Amino acid sequence: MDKITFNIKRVLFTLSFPFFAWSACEIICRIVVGASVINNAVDFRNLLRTFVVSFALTLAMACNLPSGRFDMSLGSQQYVIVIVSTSIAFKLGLGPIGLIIWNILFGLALGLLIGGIFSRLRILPMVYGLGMALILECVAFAANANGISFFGKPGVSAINSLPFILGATIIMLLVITYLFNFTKFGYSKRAIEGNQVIARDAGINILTNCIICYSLAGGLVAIAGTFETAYKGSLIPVLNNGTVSVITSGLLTFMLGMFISRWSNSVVGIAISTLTMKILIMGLSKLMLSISIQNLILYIIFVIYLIISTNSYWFEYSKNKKLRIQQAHEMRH
Amino acid sequence: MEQKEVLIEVKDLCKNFGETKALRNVSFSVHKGEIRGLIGENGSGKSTVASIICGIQPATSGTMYYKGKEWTPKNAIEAQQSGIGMVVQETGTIANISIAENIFIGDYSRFKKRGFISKKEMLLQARKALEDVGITEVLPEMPTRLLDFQNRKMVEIARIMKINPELLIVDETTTALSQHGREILYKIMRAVADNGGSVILVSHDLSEMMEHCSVLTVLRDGIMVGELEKEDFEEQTIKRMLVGRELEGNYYRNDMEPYSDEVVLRADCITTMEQLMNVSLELHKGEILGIGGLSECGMHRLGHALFGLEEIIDGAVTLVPKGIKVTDSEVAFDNKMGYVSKDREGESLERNASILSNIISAGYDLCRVGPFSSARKEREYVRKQINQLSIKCVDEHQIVRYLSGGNKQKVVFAKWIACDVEVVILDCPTRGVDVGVKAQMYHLINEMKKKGKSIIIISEEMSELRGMCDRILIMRDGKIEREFMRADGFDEHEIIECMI
Amino acid sequence: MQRIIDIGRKRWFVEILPVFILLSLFLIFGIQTKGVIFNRGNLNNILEQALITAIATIAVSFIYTTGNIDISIGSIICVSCVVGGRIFESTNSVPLMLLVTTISGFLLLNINGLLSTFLKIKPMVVAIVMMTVYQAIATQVMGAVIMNIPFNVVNTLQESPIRMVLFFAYLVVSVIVFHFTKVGRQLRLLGGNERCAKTVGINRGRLLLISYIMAGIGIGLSAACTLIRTGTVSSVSPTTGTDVMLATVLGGMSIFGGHRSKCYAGVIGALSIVVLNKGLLMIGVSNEIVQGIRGLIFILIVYLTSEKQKTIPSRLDY
Repeated sequence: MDKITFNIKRVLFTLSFPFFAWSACEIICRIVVGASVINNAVDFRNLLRTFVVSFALTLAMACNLPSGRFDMSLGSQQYVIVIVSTSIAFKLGLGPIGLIIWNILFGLALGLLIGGIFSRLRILPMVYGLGMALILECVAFAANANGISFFGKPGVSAINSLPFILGATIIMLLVITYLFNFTKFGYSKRAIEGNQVIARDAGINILTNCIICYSLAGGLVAIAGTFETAYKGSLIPVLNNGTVSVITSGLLTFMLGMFISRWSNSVVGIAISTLTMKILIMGLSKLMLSISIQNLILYIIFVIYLIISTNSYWFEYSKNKKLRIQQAHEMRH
Repeated sequence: MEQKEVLIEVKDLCKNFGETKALRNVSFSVHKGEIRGLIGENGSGKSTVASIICGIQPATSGTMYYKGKEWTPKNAIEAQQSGIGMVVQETGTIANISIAENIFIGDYSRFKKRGFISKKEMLLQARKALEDVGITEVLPEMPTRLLDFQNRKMVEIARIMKINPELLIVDETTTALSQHGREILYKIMRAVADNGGSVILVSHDLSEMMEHCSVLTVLRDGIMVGELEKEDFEEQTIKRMLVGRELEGNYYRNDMEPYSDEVVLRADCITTMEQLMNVSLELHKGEILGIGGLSECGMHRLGHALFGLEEIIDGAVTLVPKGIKVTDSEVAFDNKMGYVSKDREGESLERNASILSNIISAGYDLCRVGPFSSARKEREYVRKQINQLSIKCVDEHQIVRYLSGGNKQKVVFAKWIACDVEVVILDCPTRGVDVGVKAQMYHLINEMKKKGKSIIIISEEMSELRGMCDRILIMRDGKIEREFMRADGFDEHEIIECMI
Repeated sequence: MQRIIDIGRKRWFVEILPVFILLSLFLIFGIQTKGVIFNRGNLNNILEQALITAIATIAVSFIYTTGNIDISIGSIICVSCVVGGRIFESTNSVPLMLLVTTISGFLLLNINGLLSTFLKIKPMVVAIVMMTVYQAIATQVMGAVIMNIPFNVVNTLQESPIRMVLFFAYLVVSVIVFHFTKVGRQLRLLGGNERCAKTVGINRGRLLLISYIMAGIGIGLSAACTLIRTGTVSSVSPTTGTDVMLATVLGGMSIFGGHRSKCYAGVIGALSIVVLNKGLLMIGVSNEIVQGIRGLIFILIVYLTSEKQKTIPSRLDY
C-alpha cells in the first residue's frame, strides 16, 4: 500500500465519523419527526456555535488529560473567567475582539496560577482539581452571586455571528496545531505523556511543561466560556462541585477525539469528534425530548462506549492467544 | 610504552544504601583509548559505580576526576553534556513517540527553523544517526512501540552515539541483545576507543569481557579485588576472584542429601502469551530445584506462572499430591504454596505497612478466634518470626520501608515460613542483601529442605545456584535447555555455555 | 524540625491528631460564637448532620481503603431520596419509603462498583460520569419541584431513635468487619499493594464486591437519614458528597487507602466538618466562602499527609 492510498484511507476514515453521525441522525429525525437535522440557516448557525464551545473545551482537556492529570477544576475555571473577567471587560468597554482577547489573557493567567500552585504542591491532580474546583466556585459566586448577563452588552451579538465563530475556530485550529505539533513544548509534552521518568532523565523539564499545559488549558476554557455565555445569554454560578458536569460533557468528545486522532493528529481528531458529537446532539434535540432526557441518552451512550472501548482489547487478545497456542502445539512436533 | 592520558579516575568511592555498603573504597583509572571491563556477580556494585560516574546517583563519599578536573555531576544531563553517555539496562525509550523523537529527546529545539520545528530535518538527522551506528532496517518515523526490546535498545544506542561521547558506558546491555545487535555494539565500542575516547563495559559475561576489553576490573561485594591487563587474562584466575568466598565451607551447602522421588509440583508443556513455550518440569519433595539463565530467558515469568500469577494459555501446572491444577494465585496460596518475588518492593511487601501487617498477610486464618482476628495471636505469631530470623527492627509495628534490604527480605521470608508452606518459589532471594544475611537465608533454605519442603530457586547468580541446588535447569529463549545434577558436579563452563 | 517529623511518625500521633483537630474547632467556634454553638438546638443540629455524614464517610472508607475513589456519593443520595419520596407519594407508606431509599442507594453504588470492577472502566471515570447521570435522573424525575413529606410523619421519624440505632448498628458492624476480620485486613492490603495482595491469594474481584456491598448499605442508610432529617425531596444535591471527602481526611484517613485506613475515622471527621460548616455560618461567613474554605482545607490536609513525589504525580489508574 503506497503512501497516497494510505493517506486517502486515513482521510476517508476520519471523515466517516461525522458523515455516519449525520446520516444516522437524519434517518431517525425524518422517521420520528419528519424534519431534517439541519433545516435552515438558524440550525446551521447553532451547530457552529455549540461546535466552537465544545472544540475549545475539548482542546483544553487535551492539554492535561493525556498526561494522566485529571483536572477536575476546568469547569470552575470557566465560570470564574466568564463571571469575573468578562465583567471587568464590560466595564472597560471593550469591543468583541477585545473581550475575547481579554478573557483569553485572564484564562492564561489563571491557568498559570493554578498550574504553578500544583507544581509546588504535587498532590494527586484529581484531588487537587476537586479542592480547586470548590475554591474557584466560591470565587465565582463571591464575585457576583447573580452571575453575569450578556444580554444587550456591547459586542455580544458580534461574538454570536458566523464570521466570529469561524474565525475563532480557524485560529484555534492553527494555533493549537502549531503548539502541539511544531514546538518544543508539543514534542516534550508527547514525550512526557509516554513516560515521565525517561523524559525527565533526558533533560525535559516536566514542571515547566506542566505549568504551560495548565495555562494553555485556562486560555482555551476562556474561549469556550465566552462563546457559550454569548450564545446562552447568561451564566449563573453554581456551588457544590456542580461544575464537574462541564467536564463530563466534554469527556466523551475527548475520548472519541483521541481515538480518531490515531489516523491523523490530536487537533484534527478532536475537531472531527466535536463535529460528530454536535451533530448527534443536534439530532437528539430535534426529537422533541426534554433536555435532561437528551443528556441522559448521551450519557448512556457514553457509558456503553466506555464499556466497549475498555473491553475491546479482548477480541484482539483472544485472536493472539489462539495463534500462540497453535504455535506451541506445532513446536511440540 | 606510550602512557595514555587518564580520562576518568575514581578514588575511594563509597556508596551506602542505608545499612548496606554497596561500594567500599573502589578506586581505578581509565585511560584514553581503553575498553575497560567492570566484571562482577550480581550485587558486586558494578552497576552502582557506572551510575555514579554517569550522574544518575551520587556517591556517599570519594572523589572522581574527569579530564583532569574534579567531577561531581548533579544529574545525567550534565554528564551527557560533558561527553559521558550510558546505555542503561532497562527500557530507555518512550513507546508512543516516533523513533526520531526518541533519538532527539530533550534536544528538539535544534530543529527550530523560523519558529517551527522541522520534522523533515529531524527525520533526516535521525536516519543519519541510525546509519552511523549501523542500523538500517528501521524507519525513523515509525512509532517506537512497534519495535521489540532489542531494536529499542539500538535506538537508545543511536541516541547516545549522536553526541559523540568521549566516555561510553554500557551497562549489562549486551546480554539482552541478539548477536547482530551485539556486533553493532562492539563495533561502536571499538570506534570510540580508536578515536581517543574510553569505554566502560559492565557485565557478568566473562568470555565477552575477555574478548573485547583491554583491562578488566573485578568487583566483589563492593570491593575491587583485582585489575588485569589483557595479557594477564586467565579464566580460572578471574573466576576465583569473582566468587572467592564460595570455597569457604558452610556458606551454601556442603551436603549431597538426596531428595525424594515423590513429585509435588509439575508443569506440563505450559505456554504463556509471552516468552514461555512448552515448558515442562517436575519438582520433588525435599528438593531444591534451581532455574537459571540470562535475564530475559523467561525464568522470572516461569516463577510467576508456577504460582498462578501469569496466565497459562496452554498446558497446566499441577500440585500432584492433591491433583489440583494451579489456575491462579488464590489456588496456589490455599494449597500451601509460597512465592518470593524478584520485585521485592513492588510484589512481596506492602512498604508503607508495618512488619506485623506484612508477616500476617499470609496467615490471617492462623490467628483467629472464631471468625474474628485476634490481635494477641497476631502479635505472638509475628514476634516468633522476628526472633527466629533475627529481624533488626524497633518493634513489630515499625514500617517496613525503613528497614535495610536484608531485613526487608527477612520479613518476606518470615511471611512464608510462618504459615508453613510446603512448596515455595524463590525468585532472586538474596538480591540486594549483604553477605551476613545471605548466609542466614541459605541456612534457612537448608532447614526447609531438611523438613521436607520443596523449593525452587530462580536466580541470576550462578554461584548461588551451584551452591544450593540439587538440580539446575537452564533456560534460554523461553524453553528449558538442559538439566544439571548436583551429583555430577556442576561444571560452570558447561552451564554458562548452555545459557548463551 | 527533625523532632517534629519524628513525632509525626509515631503511631499514636496519627490517632490523636483528628481528635485534637475536632477539639480545637469546638474551642475556636465556641469562643467566636460566645458559646452559642453549644446550646441545645445547635448541638442537636450538629449531631443530626454529623450522623448523616458519618455514616456516608464510614461507607466510603470501604471504597477508599481498596484504593478506589468515588465522588458521586452526593448524587446517589439525591436520587435515592427522590425515588423514596416518589414511592411515598404513591403509597403513603413510611417503612416502604425508607426501605426503597436505602435499597436505591445500595443499588446505585453497586452499579458504580460493577462498572469499575467487572467492566473494568477506570473508577474515576465511572464516578464522574455516573455523578452527572444520577444528577440528571434526579432532575428529570423531580424537575424544579420540592416535595414535602407531611410534618407529622417527619416529626415522628425525627423523634424516634431510628437514626441513632441505624448509625450505631452500622458503625459497630463496620468496625468489626474492618478491624477484626480477615476481610478488613485483606481490603487494606489490596489498597496498600495490589500485586502483593495477589501473592497471598486475595481474590480482587470478590473483595471489591464486598467493599461495595458494605459501602452500599452505608450510603443507603445515609440517604434514608437525610430524608428523615430534611423532610423534603428535591433535585438539589446535598453537600454530603464533598463533606465526605473532607471528613475522610480530617478524620485521619488517607483517601488512597492502604495500611493506615480506619473506618471510624469517619465519625470524628464528620463531626469536625459539620462543626466547621456550622461554626463558620454562625459567625456570619457566607455560604460560598464556607465552601472556599473547605476547598482550601482539603488541599492543605492532603498536601500535608501525602508522600512527596519526585515527578508530577499522574496516577493513570484514577
